Amino acid sequence: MTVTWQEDTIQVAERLKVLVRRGGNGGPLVYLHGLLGIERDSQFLDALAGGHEVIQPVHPGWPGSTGLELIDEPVEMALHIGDLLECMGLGRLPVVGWSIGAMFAAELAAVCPHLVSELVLIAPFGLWDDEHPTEDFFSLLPHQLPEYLWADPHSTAARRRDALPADPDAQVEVRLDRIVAMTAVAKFLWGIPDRGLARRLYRIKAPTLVAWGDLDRLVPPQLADRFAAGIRTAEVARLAGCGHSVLFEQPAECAALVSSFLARSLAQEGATQ
Amino acid sequence: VKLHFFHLMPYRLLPSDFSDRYRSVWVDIPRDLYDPVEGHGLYHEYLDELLLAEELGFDGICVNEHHQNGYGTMPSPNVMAAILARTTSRAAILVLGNSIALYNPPTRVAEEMAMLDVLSGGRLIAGFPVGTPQDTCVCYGMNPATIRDRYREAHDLIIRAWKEEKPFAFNGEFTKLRYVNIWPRTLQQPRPPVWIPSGSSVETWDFALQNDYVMCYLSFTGWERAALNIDGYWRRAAELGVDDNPYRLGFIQTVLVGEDDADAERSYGEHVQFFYNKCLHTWPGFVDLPGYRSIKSIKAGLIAWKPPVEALDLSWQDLIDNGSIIAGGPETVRQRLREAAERLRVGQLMLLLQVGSMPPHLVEKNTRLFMEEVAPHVRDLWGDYEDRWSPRPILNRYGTAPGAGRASGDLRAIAT
Repeated sequence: MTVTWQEDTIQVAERLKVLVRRGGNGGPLVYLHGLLGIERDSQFLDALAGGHEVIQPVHPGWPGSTGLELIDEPVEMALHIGDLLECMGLGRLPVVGWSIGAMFAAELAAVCPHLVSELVLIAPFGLWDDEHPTEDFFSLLPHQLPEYLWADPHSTAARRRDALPADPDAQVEVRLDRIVAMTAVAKFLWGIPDRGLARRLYRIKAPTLVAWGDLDRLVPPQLADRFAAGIRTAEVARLAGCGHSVLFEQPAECAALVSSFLARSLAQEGATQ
Repeated sequence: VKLHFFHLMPYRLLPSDFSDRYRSVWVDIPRDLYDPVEGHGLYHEYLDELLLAEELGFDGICVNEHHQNGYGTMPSPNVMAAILARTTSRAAILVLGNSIALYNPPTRVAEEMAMLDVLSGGRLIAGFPVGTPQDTCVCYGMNPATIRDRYREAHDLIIRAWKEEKPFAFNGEFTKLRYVNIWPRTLQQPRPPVWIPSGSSVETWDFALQNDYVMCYLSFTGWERAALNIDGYWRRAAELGVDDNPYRLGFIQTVLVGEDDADAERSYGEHVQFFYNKCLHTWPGFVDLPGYRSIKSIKAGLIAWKPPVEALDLSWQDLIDNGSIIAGGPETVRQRLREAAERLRVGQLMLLLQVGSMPPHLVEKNTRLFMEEVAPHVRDLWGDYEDRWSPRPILNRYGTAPGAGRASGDLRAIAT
């Protein structure tokens, strides 16, 4: 089944205009994107859209949305996402985040617990471990990045996602978009990517799934245990043979994992009521 | 034209195979390559070279700031400037500079520079660079996305702190201080001259021009490569209705003077090649950081993008041909230097005369030949213009003011 996606701009505040992409059938679910911004070619999201209306807002500062100057810290990003959901008339709902988006999702669940029914953190940034330091990906050269983003940088999935358009003008646009995105990323992850999330994890009350590719070279999978230790309601799933780009390396498996977690949580909630 | 002696204070004993064995001279350079016993000697050697420069008549002597760096071992230029303030008596002391976005609170820079100005008898030139990405964002962890905002705020705070007569409150985005009240006051009033070390950032040109600061173009790749950029600077000055006084522009140039052309190559060749081929070896991943450059300048760069030139194994002649160095016998250097200064319209020439692994006897030779054989033939340039950006000669009870004999004047009259 092909999903029909549509994109709209939502004015959250005077200087905060947010691009939102939505599609699918079922109860609403928020997806918070990773380092490079909006996903327009994601089998993972297409699969999720089979059972949910998937709502994908572009974070302020990433291509498509404005207002990064109003947001300095991940906590402020969480407040913004809360505002956006309110603007859209959305209440309590599942929140799925990947990479930096998972860090924002965790912050949202900590700062606005009433808005998050279930939380899925896929390879989240946000914690630091001296024994397992997060890679300084800002100092990697472009040709080095793939081996940190993928378990197999030569896989079809990796080549397809990393490919630049043949047209030189379009290529400039894509590269500029990546630079804009990485500038926004730097605001939240520069240096030591720890902005105090560890202190707030205890506030997360939603049932939480922490999923991680066991070959992630960007954000060490060992951090999964730290998330699990900090979030009382968390369970951990490890995806064998996957790197940081797990959603593209095993899209169907990831979607199945998320769907079954959400279904289980729903059933448990029903049982306790 | 004013002549300033610029010193990087390199660790000139790096192994000759450095660039083959390590990825960068900067940021993550192996610590065990630094031998502090040698370092003890090098610091004193370099200070002696700066003292000699004053003795031989340079208008200014320059120190600068680098962090975790093998070719610049002055993480705190103010430490060196303090020594120079005490041991020299005439030359301007150019601190080029303090990367003001790094210091929290930035009033620390206002305080230390005020100390230097008072100590030196009003000879300080205050350099305020944004700082390189390596120094500021990597070594000192500043966020590249906000470094320029921090810089502007620190600048506003320091300038105001020097100027205000009474304590004031400062509520910035990055610095919040209930009582700003700098003791001591600067001797130069209302403040020391401000020079802005920079490269080709249009935003920085505007900033320097609008505030009437000297813009110092700092690069080691020579005047020919810089010429197009500097043309842009002068065009921008005209657009903003600013005069074209050459003294509002500084430029650094590596110069090597021998008895004749062949002697220059024989004496300095290996040391200069060591600097250009080995010392400037830095990891590119520490340079182009997201947010450090504006999207506007990145876009211009992407559209005009050409593959970088492999700057490896440049010969002496390559370095002369590409303009990185001006080198040869006195007559060659006179002609080329004059040509460069006229072409760039530069009034503040900063000369790099100690380069790479050059030992002290060659630095002395180069410096003496420069001042005796070259300087007298270029100094008259721009004589019709007034240099409004250098310290006025202020009498100093610990030294001698130019042409004034032993100090006897009333400091108070000059300082107010």
